[in-house]
Amino acid sequence: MLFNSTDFAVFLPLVFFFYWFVSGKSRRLQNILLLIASYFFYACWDYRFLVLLGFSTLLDYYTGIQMFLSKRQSEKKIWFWLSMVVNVGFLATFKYYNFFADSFVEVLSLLGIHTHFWTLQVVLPVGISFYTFHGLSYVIDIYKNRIEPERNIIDYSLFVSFFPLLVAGPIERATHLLPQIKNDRVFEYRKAVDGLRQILWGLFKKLVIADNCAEYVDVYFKDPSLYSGSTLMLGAVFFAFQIYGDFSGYSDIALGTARLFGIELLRNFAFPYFSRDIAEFWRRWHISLSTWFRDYLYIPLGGSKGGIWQNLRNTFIVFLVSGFWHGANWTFVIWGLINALYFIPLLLMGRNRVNLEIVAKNRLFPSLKDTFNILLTFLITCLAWVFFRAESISTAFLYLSGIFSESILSKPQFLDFSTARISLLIFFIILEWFGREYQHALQNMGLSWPKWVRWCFYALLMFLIGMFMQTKETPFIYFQF
Amino acid sequence: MYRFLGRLGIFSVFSLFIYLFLLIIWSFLPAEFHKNLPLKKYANMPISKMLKDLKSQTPVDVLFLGASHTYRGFDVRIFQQNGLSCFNLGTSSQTPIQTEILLKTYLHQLKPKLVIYEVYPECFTLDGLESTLDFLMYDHLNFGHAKMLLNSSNIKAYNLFSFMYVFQCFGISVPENQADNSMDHYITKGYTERDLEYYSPSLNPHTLQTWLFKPKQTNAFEACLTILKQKNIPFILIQAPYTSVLRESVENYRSFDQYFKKQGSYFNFNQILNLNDSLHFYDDDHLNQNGVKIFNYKLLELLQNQYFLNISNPIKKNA
Repeated sequence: MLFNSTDFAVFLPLVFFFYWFVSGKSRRLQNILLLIASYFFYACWDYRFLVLLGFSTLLDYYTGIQMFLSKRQSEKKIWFWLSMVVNVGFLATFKYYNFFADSFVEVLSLLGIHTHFWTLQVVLPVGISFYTFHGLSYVIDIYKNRIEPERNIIDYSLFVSFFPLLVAGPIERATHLLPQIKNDRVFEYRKAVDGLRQILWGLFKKLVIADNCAEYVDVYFKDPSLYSGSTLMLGAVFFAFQIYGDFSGYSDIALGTARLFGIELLRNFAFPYFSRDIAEFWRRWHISLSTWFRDYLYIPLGGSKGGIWQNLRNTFIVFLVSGFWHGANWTFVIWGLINALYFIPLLLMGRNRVNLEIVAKNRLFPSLKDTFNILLTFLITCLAWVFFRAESISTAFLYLSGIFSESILSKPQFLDFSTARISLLIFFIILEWFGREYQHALQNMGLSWPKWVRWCFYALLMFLIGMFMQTKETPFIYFQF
Repeated sequence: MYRFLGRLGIFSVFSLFIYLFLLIIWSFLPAEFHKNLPLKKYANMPISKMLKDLKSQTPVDVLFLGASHTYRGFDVRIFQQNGLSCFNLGTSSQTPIQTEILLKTYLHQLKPKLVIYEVYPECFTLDGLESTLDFLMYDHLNFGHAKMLLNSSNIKAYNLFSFMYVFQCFGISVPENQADNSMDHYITKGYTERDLEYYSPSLNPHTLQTWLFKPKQTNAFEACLTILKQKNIPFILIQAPYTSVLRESVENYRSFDQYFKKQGSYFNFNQILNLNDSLHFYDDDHLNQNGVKIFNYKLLELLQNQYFLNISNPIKKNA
């Protein structure tokens, strides 16, 4: 079931109705309802993987309690490693086994040894990277004595499987989400209205911006040798907006949906394309994953405490692992590596924490310097995205060599509806710019306008969705991760 | 909570009106700005002419149903010359979903004594959007179209229906453009003839494909047959000829016969006739006028063998 499907348009109001009207007076009933709805939502993808989700949930629930009850450190360690090995083992098996097997065979064949490995013929369970990370953070937090284990199996299962975040995040923390699950929720008009606004904005990002850019991107990336440098550069820019619209759109719908149930999820995007350097970009892009790696990988590795070389090593590891987390393909590893290379100069110069506030705060326009930095950051981000999007490293290099050819100065080759699409992109960027100081672009937009004008504006967004959305349901990119 | 739901309800109604208003305003922008509002209307489109003819059509002996193989494949003049009054209800990419609605709308008017339903298998694999859009654009909207709309579940169809409905309510018609294909000539009673052309199979290589029937199409198809059975109207199912290169590219081509045979009297003209891909077709699945003649005369011959053909009273011989 996709967020942008008619099934979800029926599912969400039904769950909302039962949540507030039928089980509204009992938090326990509300949690049971949400859990059933979440499992139903997941089963709509592939009911067979419910077993995997259930097993992973039970394992972490049980090991969490056992760790807490362990009297000796060695016993605690055993439970901890059991959970780590099984969780990471599932992830490695389903997501990375084929990749490693194929890569190993290729390495051996380079050495003249021809062999064949058995590979898995299964699809990747949707959301496995996300719910595994939920469970891992929970177990690590208990091991580090940061939290106590959750005794209520329903509440814990809901923490892992809450449907808005189940398949593509944000990657939640037990310290943030579990207390909300355990406390009574009160319906708040403003929160619910803002949730709807965020859902509307998320749908606009996904259906209008991302899906329309995707039509261009798919054509240009299919055979980059057919297009001029300027066209390929345009393709890279379109992909930058596609991936942003797709993933941040998903996150907005997830956050907005959760708010309808009185639950606040972690923010995942904070207008990353207005960043003035790559460090700022990574503080604003997929925030829940970046902070997860910071807290559970970078800091345990020693963070920045052990001197510059250790800091560099840890930074490289985090970027490489982050790249690899996205998918079992060398293209993602290279993408991570490129971002590490972008980041290192800032780290060496001690300028990785310069731009902490949003650009041009309380001002209408950015300074010339900020504008230049934003454009430069966006440009290098687009070039890195080429590796993220390309099917293989060779295609990515072909694409980049196409960009950096003489034809970069020629007029780009546009496809159908190009004027409309570019107009929509400009409209989108303007709205994002005006909303950049808030949680999402629509949060504060038009609140001072007369109500009928504001409603017309929302209706216009709905109309643009209806006029430019794809006629077939298109899945979100991050579902494959 | 009630305040929230109340305002949400008011906003929903409000936004619906704004949506309709914008739909009308937006239609004045260049076509590329209304991607999901396909507004091209052509004066000489076969469906447009056919629907106009249909308004004044009296009961017929034979009614043809189906997609482009029908309106391009059954030359009503040949049947009329042989004493049969007929009407061709075929339209481009018509799927059983549209056929069912057409039957419900026009069967009582046409009162056919025999229905010939062309069952091109690929139509059972389509979602029916193209045909739905054609009917929304050219037909007078009624409840049947709303059902067609729900079956399509497509934003283009919803937008076009809303747009055309508003226009219909205000008595405005969408301006018509010139025909987009001057090679097609609407003849009469739903039949369209194309200037004589020949197909070059070597220029059109086919990749191997599998045609999978959509359950909603087979359900609609069986509903069509049920309607005919309930009204005691005899029908025959026909697969019109298409090129051997296309047939050979469809992996499961043989399986379709089994399905159609179960549904009633069925004749596959790919097996009955041995036509030449180049001489008798103008593309990989449409007969040129030479092919149409051979096909139609063979069909008449078959009808004479299987049915007592009489202008006033064709009676089914073999059920």
